[in-house]
Amino acid sequence: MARPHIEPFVELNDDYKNFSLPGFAAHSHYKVLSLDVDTGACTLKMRFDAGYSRKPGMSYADVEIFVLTGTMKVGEQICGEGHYLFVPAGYALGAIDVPEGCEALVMYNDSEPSFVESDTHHALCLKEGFVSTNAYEDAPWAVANLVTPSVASGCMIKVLHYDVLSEALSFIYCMTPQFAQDNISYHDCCEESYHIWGTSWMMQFGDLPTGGYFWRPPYIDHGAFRSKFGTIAFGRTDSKLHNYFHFNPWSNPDENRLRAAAQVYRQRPELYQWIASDGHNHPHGPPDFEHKHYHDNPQIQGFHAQHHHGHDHDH
Amino acid sequence: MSKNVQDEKPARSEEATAWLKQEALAQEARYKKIVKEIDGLQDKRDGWIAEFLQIIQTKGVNVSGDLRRIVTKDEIPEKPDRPDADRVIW
Repeated sequence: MARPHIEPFVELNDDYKNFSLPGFAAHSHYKVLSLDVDTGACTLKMRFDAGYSRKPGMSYADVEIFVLTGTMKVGEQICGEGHYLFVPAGYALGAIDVPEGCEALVMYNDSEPSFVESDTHHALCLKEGFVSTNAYEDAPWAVANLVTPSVASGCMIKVLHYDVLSEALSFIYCMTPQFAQDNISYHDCCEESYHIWGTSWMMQFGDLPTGGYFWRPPYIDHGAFRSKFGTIAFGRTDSKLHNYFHFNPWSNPDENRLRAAAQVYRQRPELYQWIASDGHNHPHGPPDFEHKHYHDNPQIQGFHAQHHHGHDHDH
Repeated sequence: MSKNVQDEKPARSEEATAWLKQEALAQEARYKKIVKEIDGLQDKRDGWIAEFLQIIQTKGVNVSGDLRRIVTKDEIPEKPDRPDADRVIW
């Protein structure tokens, strides 16, 4: 199975645990926010005590880091609050030093946390994918209408990472004070969020305050939405985000999935018929002459692992 | 076939396997706690849903961005008669 529906999880009152996995230095602590129990992929909130130090090295998973509080030095770069790193698997990240303590979200995307000391990149590393940027300082807020239908005005976004194959996104977003959106939404993708500051409200789950987190699998209703005093959050999707809006408070994920498929049937009928027709089905994804090896991409492989084989692919 | 760094990951160590097992159990307990807490909001949620259904008939439902349309009374869905009708954690 993939990660379960964790919503909401307010982690602030939970204790950190010592990180004792091989390869992880002392003085680092973690809380699991969500975990794929098969692959080990996970989202952690981590605390690095003053004096934490780690030598240069790599992981066998793509890793994302978002600094919540304090400062960490990565190689020669000072990463303060709001700093975001996308570290491709096999990328030899510079030595990490934390002089005064630091908290961060740390996400291992493909497998359980791993660390191998190294000052050179793995031969297969897609090192061009490395991203290092300060989300607070290095990009302007944009209106969140990069997808249509779009959220109501007052929800703003900064995209930090975009996967060209899956269109997965990592981003920060904010809701202005008195933000309101009166509809119910679901998506084809998993959606994840951590509230850095502020409280938002959803009709299904109530308030999500500072320190609130969710991992929401596809096709699960959420909304209507409110934020009285505003909020700022870090978010991710694992593939393309499309907003399916509606106003039925009692639809379930199966009905939502069928409604999404019906939309494909209406809007891309040829493609729907081809995918659905007997003998032309490709549960692992059909060939793509532009991206010949896309099946081998770890992000794409993850989709197949997550797929529930509860139905026949051939009709 | 192209190869990735992920393909060269060594077999999962005993320590990592134990860590994963421990955290999977903790997550299962967390999930059950969340389900209980969210199920406990049902009375409030019924009120929120009633308010939502009123708003979309007066102020309108957001169709895209700030574009709204008024939902007519005959379009309002009825709560289905099935065991998972109130379920919101899946």
